[in-house]
Amino acid sequence: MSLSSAIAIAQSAFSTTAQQTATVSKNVANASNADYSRRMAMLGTTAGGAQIVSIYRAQNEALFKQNLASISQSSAQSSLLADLEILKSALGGNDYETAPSTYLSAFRNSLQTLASTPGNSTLAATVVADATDLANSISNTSAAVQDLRLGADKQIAEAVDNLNALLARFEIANNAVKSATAAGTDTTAALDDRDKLLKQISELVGISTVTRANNDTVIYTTGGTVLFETLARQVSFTPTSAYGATTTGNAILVDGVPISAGSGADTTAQGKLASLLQLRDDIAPTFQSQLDEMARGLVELFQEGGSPGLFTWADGNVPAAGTIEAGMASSLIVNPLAKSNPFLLRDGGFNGVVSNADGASGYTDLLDGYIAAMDTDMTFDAATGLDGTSSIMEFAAASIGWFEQIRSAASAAAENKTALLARTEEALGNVTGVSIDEEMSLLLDLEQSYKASAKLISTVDAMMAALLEAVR
Amino acid sequence: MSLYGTMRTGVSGMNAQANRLSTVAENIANSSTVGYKRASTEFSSMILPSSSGSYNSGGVQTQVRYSIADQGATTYTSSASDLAISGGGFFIVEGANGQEYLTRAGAFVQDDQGNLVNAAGFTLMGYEYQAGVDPTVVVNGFDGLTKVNLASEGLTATGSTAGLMGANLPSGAANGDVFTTSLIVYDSQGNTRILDFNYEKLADNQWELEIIDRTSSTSLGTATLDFDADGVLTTSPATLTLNGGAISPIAGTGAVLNDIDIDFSKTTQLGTSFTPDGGKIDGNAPSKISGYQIDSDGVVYIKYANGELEPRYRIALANVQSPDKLVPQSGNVYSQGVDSGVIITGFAGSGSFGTILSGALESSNVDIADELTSMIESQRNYTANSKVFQTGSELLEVLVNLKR
Repeated sequence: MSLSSAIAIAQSAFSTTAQQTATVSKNVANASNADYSRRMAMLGTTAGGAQIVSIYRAQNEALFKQNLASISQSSAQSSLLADLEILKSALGGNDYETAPSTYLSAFRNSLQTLASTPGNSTLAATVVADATDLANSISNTSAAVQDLRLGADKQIAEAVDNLNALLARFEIANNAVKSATAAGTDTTAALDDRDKLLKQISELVGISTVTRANNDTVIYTTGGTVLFETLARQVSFTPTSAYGATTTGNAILVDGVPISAGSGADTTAQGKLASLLQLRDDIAPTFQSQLDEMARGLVELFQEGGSPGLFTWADGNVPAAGTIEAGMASSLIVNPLAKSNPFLLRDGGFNGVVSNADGASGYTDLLDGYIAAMDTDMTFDAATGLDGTSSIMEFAAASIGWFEQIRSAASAAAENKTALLARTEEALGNVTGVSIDEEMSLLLDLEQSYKASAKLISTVDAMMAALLEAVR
Repeated sequence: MSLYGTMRTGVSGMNAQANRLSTVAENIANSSTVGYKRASTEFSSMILPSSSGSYNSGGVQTQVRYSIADQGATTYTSSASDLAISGGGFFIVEGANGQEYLTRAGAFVQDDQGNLVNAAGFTLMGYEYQAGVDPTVVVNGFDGLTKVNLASEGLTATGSTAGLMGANLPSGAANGDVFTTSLIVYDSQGNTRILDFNYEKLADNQWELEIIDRTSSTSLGTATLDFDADGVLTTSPATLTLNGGAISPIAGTGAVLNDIDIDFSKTTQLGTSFTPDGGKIDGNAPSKISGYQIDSDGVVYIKYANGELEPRYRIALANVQSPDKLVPQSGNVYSQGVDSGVIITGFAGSGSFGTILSGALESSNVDIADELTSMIESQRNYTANSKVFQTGSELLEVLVNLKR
């Protein structure tokens, strides 16, 4: 050891302290950046004795993977809930005021009123008006359900475009990480960028990652299909421009393999795409089939002589009992004849089969029959997911009950999954996040060590000066 | 005659101290020269034969020594081509005259040709890699050395020849279930091809792996994977050679796909979902040169934009038996001297050679404080010697004055 090396060491201490301070300031600057992982400047010495600073990045692989899974689940559940809420508001909000079941009971009530005073033409017109409201409600709800499917389809198309763009960006970020790792340079910024993209991708689709040599990452979907390996794999989807009850949406293909839809109200879907598929291909079609069965039930109940009576639809026939007639709900209308002559309901005669031939004003046989039939069990298709044998009143109520059960379960699950996400984010943040207090105390340490180095230099300088003084 | 002898002895002493001062001056002047090794002076006495009655004063002989083997402190820089040796050995450099020298001054920068030239104008020498094979050293000479050149060459690509792919196959799958994953491989011109790996369950504990080129839907090979009751692969050998020639080149490229050995020994069959392990494949797509990197063994890698490293040169080091006896030349270089022993060449990290630090420089091993103390010491000694001379001269004057 010599004075010259003492001064050289003190100088290198300046540069290392400066680098450490730069790291601290970077941490402080990014304290509120959720995608930033704390950097730690670690000191070390090499074989040559020189001091070096290596920058480490706080990370926890297990927590990060858990966080990705939580993001996927939470994103899937909240996307599902948002769409169910849209349908709920189409059905009238909290009390389902505009749901078919509400109009159905209103219609039945006015039918009963008419039955007590069958000669009242105002009451007869009211029944027809209520029937029109009911038919409109069923066809409007059917339109709303198909709109929801179309909306889901559009969201899928958008999300797939977004996913492809994210994967393309991931390729750039992954190459940056690989190249920085290979060259031994600072990888921290590239890793931050890559992790941020992984979080964004996991919002759209559930993923698992594998890290290969050189920090090269491969992304799989939770089903094991390759999303990214060296190059991004194509995620393809063809949107459908219009939806009817019989329309089947296209599958989302990842690397040629279709993504499977989630199932259940507390959805198994990971990522928005799977939950949108679930809504488009499972929940909405089931609800549609219930509406179709309601429409078919009404046409069947009010038929006259084998042909539709008060309620009719595009096809104009009475379909076979107990089988879904897909798309029937959308074209359900009240027979136009009933509007010009409301008493057709009391007397019959939509199809020429007149029951009250002499037009007796007290005739209630038909009306009583309708009212009784509305409370009598009939057969519904089991594919609706509801009780196959029930009265139409019960069926309509059960349909709303089914929907509300799904919605409330989805809502409860969304709360749980959001809470889980918040917990994992917090846990990850505790490991990788910046704590300003900690950084500040570190800064104080650095300040002291900087001052000590400066003191060293001034001392060595004084010693040199003493020596130079001696030379005359 | 002893008075004259005394004066000559004083002169020889002054000379010796002047020499010492010269080395101090040179050391101080070069205290910041990278790779400079301090010079020091050692004195040896010259004693003349004397009889018992008279003393014949002799003189002092100066020998200059260089602390060449004494390592200077390493300081870090921001340039990857600044090199320092931690341990023994010297860089082999070539002067403008085509002559090879040894040096520790590693402040190399690229010149207009891409050669690495240090501050004194000497070019760094090394051995070139041929087809990625570690070069052989000529131990006792400088033959085979070439200038280390970092001039950016064009794009390069390497075709894939070997890889591995592991996956867990779900043991609960039904017969006929197919699971698919894929891997990118490179043909001889660096075009990418996607290979689909289809795992189809044939029977309990038995799967078939078929590898298909996605573009042409051509099957490149199949293997039957058998598992024991614990889900461990029993198929042996667990490799599959893909017939690369079976795929026609991508239209208009003329590039061929090599035969690729796929190692599937890491495949398992356990009761969980289908989980591929990421796989691995050699080869790389065409990529631009983005820089270079020098490792501790002196291998100079060309770094491609995609992160691949390709070894291009290996920096040669040389050493002699007695490094302190090397002959210093201008520009911090040394040549072999009579007493140094013969030059032996080799690579960093082997034998008596140290390791190479990239982005670091070896500081001069001069310590100013040492030099200043030597300076004071020699100043005093010089004065004392001059007093001897002065005294001799005065005594002579007395003698001369006796004669009138």
